[in-house]
Amino acid sequence: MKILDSFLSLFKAPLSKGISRPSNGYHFSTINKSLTLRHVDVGSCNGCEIEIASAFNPIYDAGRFGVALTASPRHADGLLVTGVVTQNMVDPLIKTFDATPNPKIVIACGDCAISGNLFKNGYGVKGPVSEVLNVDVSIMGCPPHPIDIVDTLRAIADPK
Amino acid sequence: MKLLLVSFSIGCLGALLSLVVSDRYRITVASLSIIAESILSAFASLNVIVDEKRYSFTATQVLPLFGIKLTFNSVNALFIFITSFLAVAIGIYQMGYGKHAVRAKISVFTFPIFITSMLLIPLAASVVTFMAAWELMAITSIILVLTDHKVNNKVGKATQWYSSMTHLGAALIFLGLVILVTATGHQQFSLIFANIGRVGTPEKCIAFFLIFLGFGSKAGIVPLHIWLPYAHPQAPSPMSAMMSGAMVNLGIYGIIRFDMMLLGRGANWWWIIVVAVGSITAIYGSLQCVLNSDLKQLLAYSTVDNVGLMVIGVGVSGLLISAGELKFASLVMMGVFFQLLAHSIFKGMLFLTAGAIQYNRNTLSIDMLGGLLKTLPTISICMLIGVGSISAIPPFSGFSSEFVLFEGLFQAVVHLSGINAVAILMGVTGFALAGGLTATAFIKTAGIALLGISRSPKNPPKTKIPFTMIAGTLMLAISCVFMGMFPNLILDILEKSTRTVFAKNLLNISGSFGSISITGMTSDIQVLILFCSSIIFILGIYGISKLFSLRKLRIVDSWGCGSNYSSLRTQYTATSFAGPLQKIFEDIVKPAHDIKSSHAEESKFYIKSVKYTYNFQDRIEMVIYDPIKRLILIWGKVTSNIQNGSVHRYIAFGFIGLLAVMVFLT
Repeated sequence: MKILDSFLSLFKAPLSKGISRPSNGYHFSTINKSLTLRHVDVGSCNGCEIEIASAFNPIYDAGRFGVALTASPRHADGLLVTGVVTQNMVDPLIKTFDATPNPKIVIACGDCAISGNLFKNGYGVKGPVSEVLNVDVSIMGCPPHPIDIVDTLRAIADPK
Repeated sequence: MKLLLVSFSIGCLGALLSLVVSDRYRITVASLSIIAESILSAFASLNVIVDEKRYSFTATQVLPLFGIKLTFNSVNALFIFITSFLAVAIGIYQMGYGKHAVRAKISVFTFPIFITSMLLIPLAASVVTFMAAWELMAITSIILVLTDHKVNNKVGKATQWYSSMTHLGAALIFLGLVILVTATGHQQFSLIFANIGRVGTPEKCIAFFLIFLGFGSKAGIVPLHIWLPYAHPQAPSPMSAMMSGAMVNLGIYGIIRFDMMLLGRGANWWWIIVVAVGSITAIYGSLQCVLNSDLKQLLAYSTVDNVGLMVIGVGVSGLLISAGELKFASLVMMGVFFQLLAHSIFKGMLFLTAGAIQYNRNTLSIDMLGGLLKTLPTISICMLIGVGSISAIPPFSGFSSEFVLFEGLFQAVVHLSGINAVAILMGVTGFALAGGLTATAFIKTAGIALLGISRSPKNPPKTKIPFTMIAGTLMLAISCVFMGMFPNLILDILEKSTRTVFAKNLLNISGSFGSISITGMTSDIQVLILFCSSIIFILGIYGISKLFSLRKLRIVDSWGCGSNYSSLRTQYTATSFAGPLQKIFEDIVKPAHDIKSSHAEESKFYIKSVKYTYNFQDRIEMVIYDPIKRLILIWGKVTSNIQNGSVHRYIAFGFIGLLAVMVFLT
């Protein structure tokens, strides 16, 4: 439950300033054992993608906790964002966010998405996801272990 | 009667005058003469219907040998009234429309004559007069279809179809009437009716079906409907409104006048076939209407559908007559009359709105339209009223008329038994299915054309629609609402015409403002209350949803996978709306798809452009008419071997012919 605490503290803490920050309107009570996410790669090195893919494979199988990935944000409960936000992906990220129905959850997956990691002040980089959107939940690690991903998603899907 | 003759002469005079005056005033002169003519004839006919008068007129010197014989009673006065009422609005509309859109001088000249001929047809009291007026109408309407032949290459094909079908129809009618004339020895309708006992049963049957098919081809029964979707869209809008609103009625008039009134009480299997043809027509027409995405073509198919409904009504009425249930027969007949009146007016109006849209946007493809409610508010509201009428929604005319017709059909099912009842049930089913499909088609039309935003940014709207065009359309729209709101007033008038058909007073209409009540019907219907309650219901649902909704409306771009690409063409189109239905009825209506891609010159792996064509073709045309066309072509080729244009050969033919005659004579 360490991770749960960590993201709860993040949820409570005031977020750093960024461009437009729409309210996510997310409540934990709205999700009950079913969480559908749209994965958005905004400039990842694909390490996180491999780990996310592993989290949904037969070994770790996040699906058994009611978690699924979807192709369209119209069906999603939230976004699973990986990578540091590059300039070119700011707009698509906001569009994807807009296209997701309310209430929604934004999950920053991996250190790049949380803090920018070693790409932070790089060329063509906007910054971490929190510069663009309100981040509700973070999954730490570079890349995060599939167990961590599964654990976090499970904690969101079934908060009891 | 005199008033009517005066009105005819005004029409013809106006037509002649329009040839003389300069280009600037031509259309105004023609339109004013149409308006004057039709106002006069509308008054004359209304007078005749209300007072149930009966006039006759004979002019022996006009047509050689036979002369002209006209009668004016409350049945044909109804048809004259419908035609002339529609013509008033169309005359007003044409003043604005014609200045820019009707290019040909000859069509401006022909239009008043066309209207005059349509007013003349119901009056005809003898076979020769009738056929003369009928041919006049056929020829003038062909000229009207030909109006745009210089700019539009589809006109040629449309005219070929129309002229061949209309003459086929005229030939069938003529044959049928000739059978009656030879059997009875008279050519005046009243004398034919008096001596109808002399006609043998097989002759009667043949005459019945020849006349039914002949008039059916004018009305547009399946499979003789083929010319409607070609010819109606090609004529300029006022003319196509007149053709679809009034000319088609004359087909129904012919079936009522000759098959029902002249031939007297017929066998029930005649009318069972009529009901069957009617229901096939209704279903087929409405199905094509759903799938079509050309506004005028869609309206033409919807005319086919409405004709189907009327033919069902006429068939059921005939069935009831042959079973002796005159009271319910007259109820059904009144429904048919109401449907005729309502259909003429809303269909005329829809064609006028289509004309206004074409005038403004330069296109008639529903897939290219959109957002008309904002750019053309008055025309769009008129169109909505028309759509409401045609889909039989309460406060409009279509609801009242279809209600009376339905009530009559249900009464017929109750009061008949055996095969007759089954036939009527079949008619009712066709009626209901067609009604549903029509509603779908017009939800599609209104929803796609009026809402959303324009799907073709290439066609910017023209500045303004002339006031007269709006006025003409509005007049018909108001009368649609009036007929729906005060059906009792209309039924009072129609009842008098019905009384003349049956020569008996059978129905009793009571009730007041906004309600339909006829003695003999199972229930009264309160149109106004129905309308108000439906409005309250809709407002209530809206209010409740507003009250209890917690979410705010969020307006965001449509999802384009995060990219900035968005096109006006990504809106829902008429074709996509009809997609599911097209899948369901794929065996009956099969549009031809074709994808053609052209490659770049450098390599065939690079695609330069992809062209998708969606060709909508009438299945009946492919199955029935194409083989006939091929046969005619083969026949033409064979005969061209004999008649090859060589003078020597023709002289040889003449010689052989002479020899043969001499041999036979000796």
